[in-house]
Amino acid sequence: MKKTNGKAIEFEHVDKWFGAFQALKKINLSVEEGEIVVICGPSGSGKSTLIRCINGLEPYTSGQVKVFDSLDLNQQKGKVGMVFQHFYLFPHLSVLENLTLAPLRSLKLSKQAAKDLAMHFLERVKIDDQADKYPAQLSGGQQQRVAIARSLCMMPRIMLFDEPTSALDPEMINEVLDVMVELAQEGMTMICVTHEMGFAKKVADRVVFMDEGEVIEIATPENLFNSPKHKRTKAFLNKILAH
Amino acid sequence: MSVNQAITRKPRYSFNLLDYMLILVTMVVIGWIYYRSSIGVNYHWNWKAAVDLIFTPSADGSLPYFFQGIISTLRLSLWGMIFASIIGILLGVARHSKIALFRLPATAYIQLIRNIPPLVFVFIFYFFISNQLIPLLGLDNLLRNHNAELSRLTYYLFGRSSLWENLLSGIFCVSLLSAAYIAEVVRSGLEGIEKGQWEAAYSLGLSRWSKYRYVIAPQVISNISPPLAGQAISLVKDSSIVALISIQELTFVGTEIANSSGLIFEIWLFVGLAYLIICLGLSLLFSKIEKTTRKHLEK
Repeated sequence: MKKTNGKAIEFEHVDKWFGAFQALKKINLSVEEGEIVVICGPSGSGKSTLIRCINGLEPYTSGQVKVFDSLDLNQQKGKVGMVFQHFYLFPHLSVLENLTLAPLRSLKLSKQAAKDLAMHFLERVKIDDQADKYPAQLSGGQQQRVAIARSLCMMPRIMLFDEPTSALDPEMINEVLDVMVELAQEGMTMICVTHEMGFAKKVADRVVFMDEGEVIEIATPENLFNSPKHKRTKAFLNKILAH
Repeated sequence: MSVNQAITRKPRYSFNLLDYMLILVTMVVIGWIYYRSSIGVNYHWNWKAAVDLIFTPSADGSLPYFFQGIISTLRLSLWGMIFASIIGILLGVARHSKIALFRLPATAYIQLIRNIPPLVFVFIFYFFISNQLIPLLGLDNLLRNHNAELSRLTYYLFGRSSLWENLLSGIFCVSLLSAAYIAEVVRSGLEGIEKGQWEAAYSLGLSRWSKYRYVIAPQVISNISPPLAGQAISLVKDSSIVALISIQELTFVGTEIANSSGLIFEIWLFVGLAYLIICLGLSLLFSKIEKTTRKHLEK
Protein backbone atom coordinates (compact mmCIF):
# COMPACT_ATOMS: atom_id res chain seq x y z
CA MET A 1 0.00 0.00 0.00
CA LYS A 2 0.90 3.66 -0.05
CA LYS A 3 2.25 4.40 3.40
CA THR A 4 5.90 4.67 4.28
CA ASN A 5 5.94 8.10 5.85
CA GLY A 6 5.78 7.34 9.55
CA LYS A 7 3.22 7.83 12.22
CA ALA A 8 0.56 10.52 11.99
CA ILE A 9 -1.32 9.78 15.19
CA GLU A 10 -0.40 7.71 18.20
CA PHE A 11 -2.68 6.96 21.15
CA GLU A 12 -0.86 5.56 24.17
CA HIS A 13 -2.93 4.22 27.08
CA VAL A 14 -5.52 6.96 26.74
CA ASP A 15 -8.25 7.11 29.37
CA LYS A 16 -11.10 9.55 29.37
CA TRP A 17 -13.51 10.03 32.23
CA PHE A 18 -16.69 12.09 32.22
CA GLY A 19 -17.24 12.31 35.97
CA ALA A 20 -17.79 8.72 37.07
CA PHE A 21 -18.28 7.46 33.53
CA GLN A 22 -15.31 6.11 31.65
CA ALA A 23 -15.69 7.04 27.99
CA LEU A 24 -12.35 5.72 26.79
CA LYS A 25 -10.52 2.75 28.29
CA LYS A 26 -6.77 2.31 27.71
CA ILE A 27 -6.84 3.21 24.05
CA ASN A 28 -3.79 2.23 22.04
CA LEU A 29 -3.96 3.04 18.39
CA SER A 30 -1.55 4.35 15.85
CA VAL A 31 -2.33 5.68 12.43
CA GLU A 32 0.25 5.94 9.67
CA GLU A 33 0.51 8.98 7.48
CA GLY A 34 -1.70 8.50 4.42
CA GLU A 35 -3.77 5.82 6.09
CA ILE A 36 -7.55 5.73 6.01
CA VAL A 37 -9.06 4.44 9.24
CA VAL A 38 -12.77 3.95 9.74
CA ILE A 39 -14.09 3.74 13.30
CA CYS A 40 -17.40 2.03 13.86
CA GLY A 41 -19.35 0.78 16.83
CA PRO A 42 -22.65 1.24 18.60
CA SER A 43 -23.68 4.71 19.76
CA GLY A 44 -22.11 5.72 23.05
CA SER A 45 -19.10 3.53 22.42
CA GLY A 46 -16.66 6.45 22.52
CA LYS A 47 -15.98 6.82 18.77
CA SER A 48 -16.55 10.58 18.69
CA THR A 49 -14.72 11.10 21.97
CA LEU A 50 -11.77 9.23 20.51
CA ILE A 51 -11.36 11.42 17.46
CA ARG A 52 -12.09 14.59 19.43
CA CYS A 53 -9.04 13.77 21.57
CA ILE A 54 -6.85 14.05 18.48
CA ASN A 55 -7.36 17.78 17.92
CA GLY A 56 -7.91 18.71 21.54
CA LEU A 57 -11.66 19.32 21.43
CA GLU A 58 -11.89 16.79 24.26
CA PRO A 59 -9.13 16.74 26.87
CA TYR A 60 -8.22 13.20 27.91
CA THR A 61 -7.72 12.15 31.50
CA SER A 62 -4.51 10.14 31.21
CA GLY A 63 -2.15 8.68 28.66
CA GLN A 64 -1.07 10.65 25.61
CA VAL A 65 -2.04 11.40 22.05
CA LYS A 66 0.81 12.36 19.76
CA VAL A 67 0.13 14.00 16.43
CA PHE A 68 3.17 13.91 14.17
CA ASP A 69 5.26 13.03 17.21
CA SER A 70 4.15 16.14 19.07
CA LEU A 71 1.98 16.67 22.12
CA ASP A 72 1.65 20.40 21.52
CA LEU A 73 -1.93 21.12 20.51
CA ASN A 74 -1.16 24.62 19.30
CA GLN A 75 1.25 23.22 16.79
CA GLN A 76 -1.49 21.03 15.38
CA LYS A 77 -4.05 23.80 14.95
CA GLY A 78 -5.26 23.82 11.39
CA LYS A 79 -3.10 20.78 10.57
CA VAL A 80 -5.92 18.58 11.78
CA GLY A 81 -9.12 19.40 9.94
CA MET A 82 -12.45 18.31 11.31
CA VAL A 83 -15.83 17.71 9.71
CA PHE A 84 -18.85 17.52 12.02
CA GLN A 85 -22.14 15.68 11.83
CA HIS A 86 -24.06 18.97 11.80
CA PHE A 87 -21.62 20.84 9.48
CA TYR A 88 -21.39 23.93 11.72
CA LEU A 89 -20.89 26.35 8.89
CA PHE A 90 -20.87 29.95 10.07
CA PRO A 91 -24.43 31.03 9.22
CA HIS A 92 -23.71 34.76 9.02
CA LEU A 93 -20.99 34.35 6.40
CA SER A 94 -21.39 33.46 2.73
CA VAL A 95 -19.98 30.16 1.50
CA LEU A 96 -16.90 31.93 0.18
CA GLU A 97 -16.41 33.85 3.44
CA ASN A 98 -16.75 30.61 5.41
CA LEU A 99 -13.81 29.25 3.43
CA THR A 100 -11.60 32.34 3.44
CA LEU A 101 -11.99 33.22 7.13
CA ALA A 102 -9.35 30.92 8.56
CA PRO A 103 -6.81 31.39 5.73
CA LEU A 104 -7.15 35.17 6.11
CA ARG A 105 -6.97 35.25 9.90
CA SER A 106 -4.75 32.30 10.77
CA LEU A 107 -2.53 31.82 7.72
CA LYS A 108 -2.53 35.61 7.05
CA LEU A 109 -3.02 35.11 3.33
CA SER A 110 -3.86 38.09 1.14
CA LYS A 111 -7.50 38.53 0.16
CA GLN A 112 -6.87 37.43 -3.40
CA ALA A 113 -4.80 34.42 -2.36
CA ALA A 114 -7.45 33.33 0.14
CA LYS A 115 -10.17 33.70 -2.47
CA ASP A 116 -8.21 31.71 -5.06
CA LEU A 117 -7.58 28.99 -2.50
CA ALA A 118 -11.24 28.90 -1.52
CA MET A 119 -12.45 28.74 -5.12
CA HIS A 120 -9.98 25.94 -5.82
CA PHE A 121 -11.47 23.80 -3.07
CA LEU A 122 -15.05 24.79 -3.89
CA GLU A 123 -14.42 23.53 -7.41
CA ARG A 124 -13.06 20.30 -6.02
CA VAL A 125 -16.23 19.68 -4.04
CA LYS A 126 -18.22 20.86 -7.10
CA ILE A 127 -19.97 23.71 -5.41
CA ASP A 128 -18.14 26.75 -6.83
CA ASP A 129 -21.37 28.06 -8.38
CA GLN A 130 -22.84 28.59 -4.89
CA ALA A 131 -19.93 30.65 -3.54
CA ASP A 132 -22.00 33.74 -2.78
CA LYS A 133 -24.93 32.02 -1.12
CA TYR A 134 -25.44 31.72 2.61
CA PRO A 135 -25.32 28.29 4.29
CA ALA A 136 -29.06 28.35 5.05
CA GLN A 137 -29.73 28.49 1.30
CA LEU A 138 -27.92 25.21 0.62
CA SER A 139 -29.04 21.61 1.02
CA GLY A 140 -27.52 19.43 3.74
CA GLY A 141 -25.25 17.62 1.30
CA GLN A 142 -24.03 20.90 -0.16
CA GLN A 143 -23.42 22.30 3.33
CA GLN A 144 -21.35 19.28 4.30
CA ARG A 145 -19.28 19.58 1.12
CA VAL A 146 -18.68 23.25 1.92
CA ALA A 147 -17.61 22.21 5.43
CA ILE A 148 -15.10 19.75 3.97
CA ALA A 149 -13.75 22.42 1.60
CA ARG A 150 -13.52 24.86 4.53
CA SER A 151 -11.29 22.44 6.44
CA LEU A 152 -9.16 21.74 3.37
CA CYS A 153 -8.43 25.46 2.98
CA MET A 154 -6.20 25.23 6.05
CA MET A 155 -4.08 22.64 4.23
CA PRO A 156 -4.51 19.99 6.92
CA ARG A 157 -2.33 16.88 7.01
CA ILE A 158 -5.03 14.88 8.77
CA MET A 159 -8.80 15.01 8.31
CA LEU A 160 -11.18 13.85 11.01
CA PHE A 161 -14.76 13.03 10.07
CA ASP A 162 -17.31 12.73 12.88
CA GLU A 163 -20.33 10.97 11.38
CA PRO A 164 -20.31 13.26 8.35
CA THR A 165 -23.34 11.70 6.69
CA SER A 166 -25.53 10.88 9.69
CA ALA A 167 -27.53 14.11 9.54
CA LEU A 168 -28.14 13.91 5.79
CA ASP A 169 -31.13 12.81 3.80
CA PRO A 170 -30.36 9.51 2.05
CA GLU A 171 -30.18 11.00 -1.43
CA MET A 172 -27.42 13.39 -0.33
CA ILE A 173 -25.14 10.87 1.32
CA ASN A 174 -23.36 9.83 -1.84
CA GLU A 175 -22.35 13.31 -2.95
CA VAL A 176 -20.51 13.69 0.36
CA LEU A 177 -19.01 10.19 0.28
CA ASP A 178 -17.76 10.84 -3.28
CA VAL A 179 -15.79 13.83 -2.05
CA MET A 180 -14.38 11.75 0.81
CA VAL A 181 -13.38 8.90 -1.51
CA GLU A 182 -11.61 11.36 -3.79
CA LEU A 183 -9.78 12.82 -0.82
CA ALA A 184 -8.78 9.34 0.31
CA GLN A 185 -7.43 8.47 -3.12
CA GLU A 186 -5.27 11.58 -3.07
CA GLY A 187 -3.44 10.25 -0.02
CA MET A 188 -4.96 12.32 2.78
CA THR A 189 -4.65 10.79 6.24
CA MET A 190 -8.25 10.26 7.33
CA ILE A 191 -10.02 9.05 10.41
CA CYS A 192 -13.72 8.62 9.86
CA VAL A 193 -16.38 7.78 12.37
CA THR A 194 -19.11 6.49 10.13
CA HIS A 195 -21.73 3.80 9.66
CA GLU A 196 -21.24 3.79 5.89
CA MET A 197 -19.84 0.30 5.49
CA GLY A 198 -19.71 0.67 1.71
CA PHE A 199 -17.34 3.57 2.14
CA ALA A 200 -15.25 1.56 4.60
CA LYS A 201 -14.96 -1.37 2.19
CA LYS A 202 -14.02 0.90 -0.68
CA VAL A 203 -11.26 3.02 0.83
CA ALA A 204 -10.42 2.06 4.41
CA ASP A 205 -7.04 0.52 5.13
CA ARG A 206 -8.23 -0.57 8.55
CA VAL A 207 -11.49 -0.62 10.39
CA VAL A 208 -11.58 -0.12 14.15
CA PHE A 209 -14.51 -1.56 16.06
CA MET A 210 -15.22 0.07 19.41
CA ASP A 211 -17.65 -0.82 22.16
CA GLU A 212 -18.10 0.67 25.64
CA GLY A 213 -15.01 2.84 25.37
CA GLU A 214 -12.69 0.05 24.30
CA VAL A 215 -11.07 -0.84 21.01
CA ILE A 216 -12.35 -4.37 20.48
CA GLU A 217 -10.93 -5.23 17.13
CA ILE A 218 -8.81 -3.67 14.41
CA ALA A 219 -8.64 -5.33 11.00
CA THR A 220 -8.77 -4.72 7.29
CA PRO A 221 -12.31 -4.17 6.04
CA GLU A 222 -12.50 -7.61 4.40
CA ASN A 223 -11.38 -9.40 7.52
CA LEU A 224 -13.51 -7.37 9.89
CA PHE A 225 -16.70 -7.61 7.86
CA ASN A 226 -16.30 -11.18 6.62
CA SER A 227 -14.64 -12.90 9.52
CA PRO A 228 -14.88 -10.86 12.69
CA LYS A 229 -12.94 -12.42 15.54
CA HIS A 230 -14.73 -10.98 18.50
CA LYS A 231 -18.31 -11.85 19.36
CA ARG A 232 -19.23 -8.25 20.13
CA THR A 233 -18.08 -7.28 16.63
CA LYS A 234 -20.19 -10.08 15.19
CA ALA A 235 -23.24 -8.98 17.16
CA PHE A 236 -22.83 -5.38 15.99
CA LEU A 237 -22.31 -6.34 12.34
CA ASN A 238 -25.34 -8.59 12.44
CA LYS A 239 -27.42 -5.70 13.67
CA ILE A 240 -26.34 -3.17 11.07
CA LEU A 241 -26.10 -5.57 8.12
CA ALA A 242 -29.36 -7.39 8.82
CA HIS A 243 -31.31 -5.61 6.09
CA MET B 1 -35.53 25.41 10.19
CA SER B 2 -38.78 26.43 11.79
CA VAL B 3 -36.99 29.19 13.67
CA ASN B 4 -35.68 30.62 10.43
CA GLN B 5 -39.09 30.45 8.87
CA ALA B 6 -40.61 32.27 11.82
CA ILE B 7 -38.05 35.01 11.45
CA THR B 8 -38.54 35.53 7.75
CA ARG B 9 -42.32 35.20 7.76
CA LYS B 10 -43.14 38.34 5.82
CA PRO B 11 -46.34 40.28 6.64
CA ARG B 12 -45.69 40.97 10.30
CA TYR B 13 -48.12 43.80 10.82
CA SER B 14 -51.05 43.09 8.57
CA PHE B 15 -54.35 44.16 10.13
CA ASN B 16 -57.19 41.69 10.33
CA LEU B 17 -60.84 42.01 11.30
CA LEU B 18 -60.11 41.75 15.02
CA ASP B 19 -57.65 44.62 14.80
CA TYR B 20 -60.20 46.86 13.12
CA MET B 21 -62.80 45.92 15.73
CA LEU B 22 -60.38 46.73 18.53
CA ILE B 23 -59.55 50.07 16.94
CA LEU B 24 -63.26 50.84 16.68
CA VAL B 25 -63.88 49.90 20.32
CA THR B 26 -60.91 52.00 21.44
CA MET B 27 -62.16 55.01 19.49
CA VAL B 28 -65.65 54.69 20.95
CA VAL B 29 -64.22 54.54 24.47
CA ILE B 30 -61.99 57.55 23.82
CA GLY B 31 -64.95 59.46 22.37
CA TRP B 32 -67.08 58.61 25.36
CA ILE B 33 -64.38 59.68 27.84
CA TYR B 34 -63.91 62.91 25.91
CA TYR B 35 -67.67 63.53 25.96
CA ARG B 36 -67.96 62.75 29.66
CA SER B 37 -64.99 64.90 30.57
CA SER B 38 -66.23 67.82 28.50
CA ILE B 39 -69.54 67.90 30.39
CA GLY B 40 -68.48 66.47 33.74
CA VAL B 41 -64.87 67.35 34.52
CA ASN B 42 -64.14 70.85 35.58
CA TYR B 43 -61.07 71.43 33.43
CA HIS B 44 -60.58 74.18 30.94
CA TRP B 45 -58.50 73.00 28.07
CA ASN B 46 -56.21 75.73 26.88
CA TRP B 47 -54.22 74.28 24.06
CA LYS B 48 -53.24 77.61 22.57
CA ALA B 49 -51.56 78.79 25.77
CA ALA B 50 -49.83 75.44 26.12
CA VAL B 51 -48.50 75.53 22.55
CA ASP B 52 -47.33 79.11 23.02
CA LEU B 53 -45.61 78.17 26.25
CA ILE B 54 -43.81 75.27 24.71
CA PHE B 55 -42.51 77.30 21.79
CA THR B 56 -41.53 80.42 23.75
CA PRO B 57 -37.76 80.87 23.62
CA SER B 58 -35.91 81.08 26.91
CA ALA B 59 -35.12 84.45 28.48
CA ASP B 60 -31.64 84.47 26.95
CA GLY B 61 -33.08 83.85 23.50
CA SER B 62 -31.88 80.24 23.24
CA LEU B 63 -34.01 77.19 22.47
CA PRO B 64 -37.38 76.94 24.28
CA TYR B 65 -37.10 75.27 27.69
CA PHE B 66 -39.30 72.34 26.61
CA PHE B 67 -37.02 71.55 23.65
CA GLN B 68 -33.96 71.87 25.83
CA GLY B 69 -35.58 69.14 27.90
CA ILE B 70 -36.05 66.96 24.80
CA ILE B 71 -32.45 67.48 23.73
CA SER B 72 -31.32 66.73 27.26
CA THR B 73 -33.26 63.47 27.23
CA LEU B 74 -31.78 62.54 23.85
CA ARG B 75 -28.31 63.37 25.14
CA LEU B 76 -28.86 61.33 28.27
CA SER B 77 -30.20 58.42 26.22
CA LEU B 78 -27.37 58.51 23.70
CA TRP B 79 -24.59 58.46 26.28
CA GLY B 80 -26.62 56.15 28.46
CA MET B 81 -26.92 53.63 25.62
CA ILE B 82 -23.21 53.83 24.84
CA PHE B 83 -22.12 53.30 28.44
CA ALA B 84 -24.85 50.76 29.16
CA SER B 85 -23.75 48.74 26.12
CA ILE B 86 -20.10 48.80 27.13
CA ILE B 87 -20.78 47.89 30.77
CA GLY B 88 -23.53 45.46 29.77
CA ILE B 89 -21.34 43.59 27.27
CA LEU B 90 -18.50 43.32 29.79
CA LEU B 91 -20.89 42.08 32.48
CA GLY B 92 -22.57 39.66 30.07
CA VAL B 93 -19.27 38.17 28.93
CA ALA B 94 -18.12 37.97 32.56
CA ARG B 95 -21.34 36.21 33.50
CA HIS B 96 -20.77 33.69 30.73
CA SER B 97 -17.16 33.17 31.79
CA LYS B 98 -15.95 29.89 33.25
CA ILE B 99 -13.79 31.82 35.73
CA ALA B 100 -15.63 32.38 39.01
CA LEU B 101 -13.66 35.54 39.76
CA PHE B 102 -15.38 37.20 36.78
CA ARG B 103 -18.69 35.38 36.95
CA LEU B 104 -19.64 35.89 40.59
CA PRO B 105 -19.30 39.68 40.89
CA ALA B 106 -21.12 40.12 37.57
CA THR B 107 -23.93 37.83 38.71
CA ALA B 108 -24.18 39.63 42.05
CA TYR B 109 -24.42 43.03 40.37
CA ILE B 110 -26.99 41.91 37.83
CA GLN B 111 -29.19 40.26 40.47
CA LEU B 112 -28.92 43.28 42.74
CA ILE B 113 -30.03 45.73 40.08
CA ARG B 114 -32.74 43.52 38.64
CA ASN B 115 -34.27 42.86 42.03
CA ILE B 116 -34.58 46.33 43.47
CA PRO B 117 -37.01 48.90 42.07
CA PRO B 118 -35.32 51.41 39.74
CA LEU B 119 -36.67 54.25 41.83
CA VAL B 120 -34.98 52.94 44.95
CA PHE B 121 -31.78 52.49 42.98
CA VAL B 122 -31.97 56.09 41.80
CA PHE B 123 -32.18 57.37 45.36
CA ILE B 124 -29.41 55.13 46.62
CA PHE B 125 -27.33 56.12 43.66
CA TYR B 126 -27.96 59.81 44.19
CA PHE B 127 -27.20 59.99 47.88
CA PHE B 128 -24.34 57.57 48.06
CA ILE B 129 -22.63 57.65 44.73
CA SER B 130 -23.43 60.92 43.09
CA ASN B 131 -23.30 62.99 46.28
CA GLN B 132 -20.27 61.31 47.79
CA LEU B 133 -18.23 59.65 45.12
CA ILE B 134 -18.04 62.38 42.52
CA PRO B 135 -16.77 65.02 45.03
CA LEU B 136 -14.42 62.41 46.44
CA LEU B 137 -12.83 61.92 43.08
CA GLY B 138 -12.60 65.69 42.63
CA LEU B 139 -14.69 65.41 39.50
CA ASP B 140 -17.12 68.12 40.64
CA ASN B 141 -14.51 70.87 40.55
CA LEU B 142 -13.17 69.67 37.28
CA LEU B 143 -16.60 69.65 35.70
CA ARG B 144 -17.93 72.83 37.31
CA ASN B 145 -14.93 74.96 36.59
CA HIS B 146 -14.57 74.13 32.95
CA ASN B 147 -14.84 77.56 31.38
CA ALA B 148 -13.36 77.17 27.92
CA GLU B 149 -15.47 78.09 24.93
CA LEU B 150 -17.58 75.16 23.77
CA SER B 151 -17.75 74.20 20.11
CA ARG B 152 -21.20 73.71 18.67
CA LEU B 153 -20.76 69.94 18.50
CA THR B 154 -19.57 69.73 22.10
CA TYR B 155 -22.56 71.79 23.13
CA TYR B 156 -25.02 69.45 21.45
CA LEU B 157 -23.28 66.33 22.71
CA PHE B 158 -22.71 67.44 26.29
CA GLY B 159 -24.79 70.56 26.88
CA ARG B 160 -23.80 73.56 28.97
CA SER B 161 -20.68 72.99 31.03
CA SER B 162 -22.46 74.22 34.17
CA LEU B 163 -24.69 71.16 33.95
CA TRP B 164 -21.98 68.61 33.19
CA GLU B 165 -21.87 67.27 36.72
CA ASN B 166 -25.62 66.92 36.58
CA LEU B 167 -25.46 65.18 33.20
CA LEU B 168 -22.73 62.83 34.36
CA SER B 169 -24.80 61.68 37.35
CA GLY B 170 -27.78 61.12 35.07
CA ILE B 171 -25.77 59.12 32.52
CA PHE B 172 -24.17 56.99 35.23
CA CYS B 173 -27.49 56.29 36.84
CA VAL B 174 -29.34 55.38 33.65
CA SER B 175 -26.54 53.28 32.23
CA LEU B 176 -25.82 51.37 35.44
CA LEU B 177 -29.48 50.40 35.58
CA SER B 178 -29.75 49.44 31.94
CA ALA B 179 -26.40 47.62 31.90
CA ALA B 180 -27.75 44.88 34.18
CA TYR B 181 -30.53 44.12 31.71
CA ILE B 182 -28.25 44.34 28.68
CA ALA B 183 -25.85 41.95 30.43
CA GLU B 184 -28.60 39.34 30.66
CA VAL B 185 -29.44 39.81 27.00
CA VAL B 186 -25.77 39.41 26.05
CA ARG B 187 -25.38 36.32 28.22
CA SER B 188 -28.42 34.63 26.74
CA GLY B 189 -27.13 35.57 23.28
CA LEU B 190 -23.80 33.92 24.03
CA GLU B 191 -25.51 30.84 25.39
CA GLY B 192 -27.66 30.67 22.28
CA ILE B 193 -24.64 30.01 20.08
CA GLU B 194 -24.33 26.29 19.37
CA LYS B 195 -21.31 24.59 20.91
CA GLY B 196 -20.41 23.38 17.43
CA GLN B 197 -19.76 26.94 16.27
CA TRP B 198 -17.03 27.30 18.89
CA GLU B 199 -15.67 23.87 18.01
CA ALA B 200 -15.66 24.55 14.28
CA ALA B 201 -13.83 27.84 14.86
CA TYR B 202 -11.36 26.07 17.15
CA SER B 203 -10.63 23.25 14.74
CA LEU B 204 -9.97 25.75 11.93
CA GLY B 205 -7.15 27.06 14.09
CA LEU B 206 -8.68 30.50 14.67
CA SER B 207 -7.17 32.47 17.53
CA ARG B 208 -9.30 33.39 20.53
CA TRP B 209 -9.67 36.95 19.24
CA SER B 210 -10.62 35.88 15.68
CA LYS B 211 -13.08 33.37 17.07
CA TYR B 212 -14.92 36.04 19.06
CA ARG B 213 -14.58 38.80 16.50
CA TYR B 214 -15.51 36.95 13.31
CA VAL B 215 -17.55 33.94 14.39
CA ILE B 216 -19.26 34.47 17.73
CA ALA B 217 -19.84 38.23 18.03
CA PRO B 218 -21.61 38.72 14.66
CA GLN B 219 -24.00 35.88 15.46
CA VAL B 220 -24.66 37.11 18.98
CA ILE B 221 -25.32 40.63 17.71
CA SER B 222 -27.71 39.38 15.07
CA ASN B 223 -29.54 37.21 17.62
CA ILE B 224 -29.85 39.81 20.33
CA SER B 225 -30.62 42.86 18.21
CA PRO B 226 -34.40 42.62 18.82
CA PRO B 227 -34.21 42.43 22.65
CA LEU B 228 -31.43 44.99 22.60
CA ALA B 229 -33.59 47.39 20.64
CA GLY B 230 -36.31 46.93 23.25
CA GLN B 231 -33.77 47.68 25.93
CA ALA B 232 -32.68 50.88 24.19
CA ILE B 233 -36.29 52.05 24.06
CA SER B 234 -36.74 51.15 27.73
CA LEU B 235 -33.68 53.20 28.50
CA VAL B 236 -35.19 56.30 26.88
CA LYS B 237 -38.33 55.86 28.93
CA ASP B 238 -36.48 54.96 32.13
CA SER B 239 -34.36 58.08 31.78
CA SER B 240 -37.44 59.93 33.01
CA ILE B 241 -36.93 58.72 36.57
CA VAL B 242 -33.72 60.65 36.94
CA ALA B 243 -35.93 63.76 36.96
CA LEU B 244 -36.31 62.86 40.64
CA ILE B 245 -32.72 63.73 41.31
CA SER B 246 -33.04 67.02 39.44
CA ILE B 247 -31.46 65.97 36.18
CA GLN B 248 -32.98 68.52 33.81
CA GLU B 249 -34.41 66.27 31.16
CA LEU B 250 -37.82 66.13 29.53
CA THR B 251 -39.82 64.92 32.53
CA PHE B 252 -38.17 67.38 34.89
CA VAL B 253 -38.80 70.21 32.45
CA GLY B 254 -42.38 69.00 31.99
CA THR B 255 -42.98 69.05 35.75
CA GLU B 256 -41.67 72.58 36.01
CA ILE B 257 -43.66 73.97 33.10
CA ALA B 258 -46.85 72.18 34.11
CA ASN B 259 -46.66 73.30 37.71
CA SER B 260 -45.75 76.88 36.97
CA SER B 261 -48.35 77.36 34.22
CA GLY B 262 -51.17 75.25 35.64
CA LEU B 263 -51.73 73.69 32.20
CA ILE B 264 -51.25 70.24 33.72
CA PHE B 265 -52.99 68.02 31.18
CA GLU B 266 -51.82 69.82 28.09
CA ILE B 267 -48.16 69.92 29.07
CA TRP B 268 -48.08 66.30 30.22
CA LEU B 269 -49.75 65.21 27.01
CA PHE B 270 -47.04 67.04 25.09
CA VAL B 271 -44.37 65.37 27.21
CA GLY B 272 -45.96 61.99 26.52
CA LEU B 273 -46.12 62.80 22.81
CA ALA B 274 -42.45 63.73 22.76
CA TYR B 275 -41.48 60.40 24.36
CA LEU B 276 -43.79 58.58 21.98
CA ILE B 277 -42.17 60.18 18.93
CA ILE B 278 -38.64 59.44 20.16
CA CYS B 279 -39.37 55.82 21.07
CA LEU B 280 -41.42 55.10 17.96
CA GLY B 281 -38.65 56.59 15.83
CA LEU B 282 -36.08 54.37 17.55
CA SER B 283 -38.26 51.34 17.13
CA LEU B 284 -38.60 51.95 13.37
CA LEU B 285 -34.88 52.53 13.08
CA PHE B 286 -34.12 49.28 14.89
CA SER B 287 -36.48 47.22 12.81
CA LYS B 288 -34.68 48.53 9.70
CA ILE B 289 -31.32 47.56 11.18
CA GLU B 290 -32.67 44.19 12.22
CA LYS B 291 -33.71 43.46 8.67
CA THR B 292 -30.22 44.05 7.35
CA THR B 293 -28.47 42.07 10.10
CA ARG B 294 -30.68 39.05 9.51
CA LYS B 295 -30.23 38.89 5.74
CA HIS B 296 -28.24 35.67 5.97
CA LEU B 297 -31.19 33.78 7.45
CA GLU B 298 -33.34 34.29 4.38
CA LYS B 299 -33.94 31.31 2.18
